Amino acid sequence: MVTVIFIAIASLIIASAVLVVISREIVRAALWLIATFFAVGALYLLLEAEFIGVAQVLVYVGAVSILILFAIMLTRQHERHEPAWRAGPWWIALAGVIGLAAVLITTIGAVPWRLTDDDLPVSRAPQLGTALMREYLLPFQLAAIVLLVALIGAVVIAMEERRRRTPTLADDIAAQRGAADRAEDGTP
Amino acid sequence: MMFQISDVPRLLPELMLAVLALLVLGSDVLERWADDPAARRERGRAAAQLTGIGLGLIWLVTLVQGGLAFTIAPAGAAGPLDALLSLGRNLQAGGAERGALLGAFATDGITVMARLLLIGAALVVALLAGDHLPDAHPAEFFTLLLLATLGMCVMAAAQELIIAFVALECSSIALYVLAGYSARQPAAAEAGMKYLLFGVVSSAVLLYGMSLAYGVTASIGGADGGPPRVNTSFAAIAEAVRVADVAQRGAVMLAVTLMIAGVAYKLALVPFHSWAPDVYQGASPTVAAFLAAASKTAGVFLLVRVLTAAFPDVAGAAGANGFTGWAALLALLALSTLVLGNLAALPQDVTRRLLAYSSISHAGFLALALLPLGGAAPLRDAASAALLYYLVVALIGSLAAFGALAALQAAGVADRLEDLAGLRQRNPLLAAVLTIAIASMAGLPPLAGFTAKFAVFVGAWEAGAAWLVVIALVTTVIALAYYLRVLRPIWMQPADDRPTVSVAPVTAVTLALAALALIALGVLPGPLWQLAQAAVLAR
Repeated sequence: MVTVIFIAIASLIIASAVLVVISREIVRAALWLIATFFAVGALYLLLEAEFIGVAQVLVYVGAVSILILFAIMLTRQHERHEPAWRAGPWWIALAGVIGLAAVLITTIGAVPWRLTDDDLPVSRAPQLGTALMREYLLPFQLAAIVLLVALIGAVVIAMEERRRRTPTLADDIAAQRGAADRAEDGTP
Repeated sequence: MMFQISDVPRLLPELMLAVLALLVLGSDVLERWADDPAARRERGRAAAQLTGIGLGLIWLVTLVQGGLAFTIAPAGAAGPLDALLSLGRNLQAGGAERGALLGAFATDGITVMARLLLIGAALVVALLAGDHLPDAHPAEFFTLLLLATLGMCVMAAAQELIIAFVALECSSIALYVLAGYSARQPAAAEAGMKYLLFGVVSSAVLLYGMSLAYGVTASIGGADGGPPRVNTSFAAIAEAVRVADVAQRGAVMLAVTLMIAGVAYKLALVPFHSWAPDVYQGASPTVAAFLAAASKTAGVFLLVRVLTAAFPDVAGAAGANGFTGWAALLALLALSTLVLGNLAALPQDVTRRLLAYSSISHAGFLALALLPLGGAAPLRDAASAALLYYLVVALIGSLAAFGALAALQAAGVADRLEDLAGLRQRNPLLAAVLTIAIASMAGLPPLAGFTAKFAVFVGAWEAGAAWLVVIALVTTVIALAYYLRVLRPIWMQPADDRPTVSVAPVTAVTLALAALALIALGVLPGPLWQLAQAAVLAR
């Protein structure tokens, strides 16, 4: 039963992750990313890590993906840009992926992983809290500084953004009209 | 295992960095905010000066507290300096305990050395940036510089996977923003974006390796046949790796490979280097100096910690007695970096791109210096000292070279090699600094670069990687060709009617001191060598 559920969740994760990469429309990619996050949350629940599962849904599905969607909507320009770089031939990427997957699967599959631990209590949130306040105190505090850095960085980038003049839709229509007029006049 | 209040002094430099960062950020509010350039410059200067003074103070505290260079004698007769002396005595007493803090943060000699190097680099960059302020948000610039330094210092002391990763992210996120700081210039925006994308991918790779290492550790029984230790500390990983069977060793090697690949991105080792030339060229030159000097140094320290503390049992060898373990991986990386980095530098016409490739090839030397760290104790200690020595010299060299380029750019000199023509007449000081830095990078004898390269070669040779040393020697000769291409316009070509170059006084003094340090360390390598050895042995 657990295996069936696992296979269902895992195929959902892989399928939506692939769709994130191959979606042409960036909003769709973001929505598929939300699906991936959600399925990963389900995987945590299957592993009986209910705190991380709920945190995954709250933080990634709830906050991060909404942030991504906001970022797309607030910064996206009205015209669609073709990517400036040229991707290499797809079969090179495919060969690389298959080679990497082969190495990972054979190496990881050969290890007898310890998958269960009978000593763990049913609810692990108190343990998690104790660990964060004891042996993981330093990384926990440092994470606060990381958030501060991210905050300052966001302010710096966003405030810069406001000063720069980005072309609006009206500018673009005016430019297109100008181009059309010039084409009618026959001058380059 | 709990954090005691008496543990606070052991984190003193890091805490001071955090406080200084907040102080710089907060004091910016008290400045005069106006839109005219004079007010903006004034505001930037204030932030730069506060950062410079604070970093100098923190550097001194670290030097006294570390106790590597000197120990203050116990209290004697009261003298005029007694208050200062007992302050120093108290500092040293607070930093003396050596076991890792919470099993996660080592405060040994290597940490002290890393702090001195990284905080020193940040100090130099802050002094240089005071004369080349960013277009906007000067206080945030220095705050991010300080917090990046904080992350790097923690990274160099990490004894545990999670703190290593969080510290790496702390410095990386700050550096992504710094690299694209003047986002109004397309080149800087491109540099920031490229650095971000490559950095995020490398972080993911590193994290995957870390999770594998953790999983393997949690699956292997304890050394005494007991249950596995579910722990992320390097000590627990090393204990598990020691008793791992063949299949588990395979997974361990996979984890090591991924972790080395993740850090190799930060070090710009070939084939993970493709971001470096664009970022060094696009970012502002002071940030490029910080990236080339401090970020690289911190990455090397992280590799030292991970490889020697967590994976000493899969070190292997890269010479006549086998080609296995992470030594072989590093040997391959060093080989590709030395060959490709030096060859790719040959046709460059843009000075900063050329120096970026030279910085890539220096990362190859660093990989070569990391090779022997898996060996037996006396060899390993000598090699660690050689690595520290090389790090110091490379750090000063890249700060001097990129700092001179920053001064040139501030004076309006364009970025191509021919724009340096006649620099000896236009500004003798900058010409001399550039020449000394480049000659030291090339490894010419009277300068520090020669001693550093020599020490690294000896270490790698004794570890059995003689073939690699021979290749490295050949690439050093090739490197002379492009280093001379920089020096030729400076000394051989006439200035014609190009204008003279003026340098701001603080920048001039900083660069002159860096160049003098390169000469002094080359002529008198003894003191630094003893310091490096003391750092290695103070565990």
